[in-house]
Amino acid sequence: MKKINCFMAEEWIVKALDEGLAPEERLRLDEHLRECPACRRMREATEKVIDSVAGDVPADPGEEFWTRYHQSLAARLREKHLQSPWWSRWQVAAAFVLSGIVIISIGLAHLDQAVKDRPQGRQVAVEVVNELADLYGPIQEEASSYAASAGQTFTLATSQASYNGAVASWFEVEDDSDQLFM
Amino acid sequence: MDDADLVKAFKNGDREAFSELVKRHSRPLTMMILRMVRSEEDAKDISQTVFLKAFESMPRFLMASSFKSWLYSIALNAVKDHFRKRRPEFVDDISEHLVDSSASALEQLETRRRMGLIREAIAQLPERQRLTLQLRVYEEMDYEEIARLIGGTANGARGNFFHATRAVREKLELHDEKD
Repeated sequence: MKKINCFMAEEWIVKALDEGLAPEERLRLDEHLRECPACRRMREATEKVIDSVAGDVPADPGEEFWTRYHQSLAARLREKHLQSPWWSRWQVAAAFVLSGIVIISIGLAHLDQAVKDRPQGRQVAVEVVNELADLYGPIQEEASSYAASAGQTFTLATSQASYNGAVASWFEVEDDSDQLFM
Repeated sequence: MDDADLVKAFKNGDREAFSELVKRHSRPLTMMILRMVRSEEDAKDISQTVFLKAFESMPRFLMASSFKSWLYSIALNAVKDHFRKRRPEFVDDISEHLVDSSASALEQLETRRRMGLIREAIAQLPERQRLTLQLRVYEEMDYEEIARLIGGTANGARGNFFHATRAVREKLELHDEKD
């Protein structure tokens, strides 16, 4: 049976605690853990983290909260319902305008990478993209993580939205500090 | 009637169908949001906004995904917006039910300290890692479902979960070394 190293062991420890391992993987991990006290400590620490996160859930707010919730939601929905005869036409028009803004915002973000107010353009793009996702359902996205130097990782996400044959594509890069570049 | 029937009924003008959808999904949806934002008032406001958006957008909802997936994707976008306006914060409200009352005072203090550190570490995670960890652990969603909701692939979501648990563990280890 081929031995595994500590990097592989770390990955399999998380997998074992999360989705579980195949029998052969389990045997290889157990063998590694018998010989490696550092990985045994890591498994114990990882297990504690996952257990602590799972146990730290807020309690149900109680019936009074739910009564208030349904009353105020009903009032807000009634207000929307009264507006409903005309909002729909506006939303169709807005969708086309927003599609245009997405394309322009992405273009600006590419051109103005060095310009100080770039995050403002990105924020507009993010809000518009969210609006499109809300209107037309989840947007198709693909993301991949890349390791960089000094333990940093970057996530590259490519996204695509389409409506009535019109397609908009863009990409986002996010680093460990949650800094998002679009 | 299942959700798809209710959606069709609503599209055909039956407003009561929407009330039934609210009745079915409001509690689990609001609780999911509450577990993420840790504030009852914020959770209520975000959850209601999600239903209002669903109400507005339903005529154009093509039912390519289930109503629940669609609703939860709106909710996650709303949570992301919430945190873009206000960065996730460590909320120090570790309630009594999370601490073993039969333990010694010192042990209770240690439990609270560790819980606080874990919350702080989660609040500092990159957005995708934080959401993946929360959806996986709190909502017990599989990685395909998580990928559908926050974008990317199931393997990408697995990677996010791995990096999230590592980051939280390393933060705790660093803190223990300082002590």
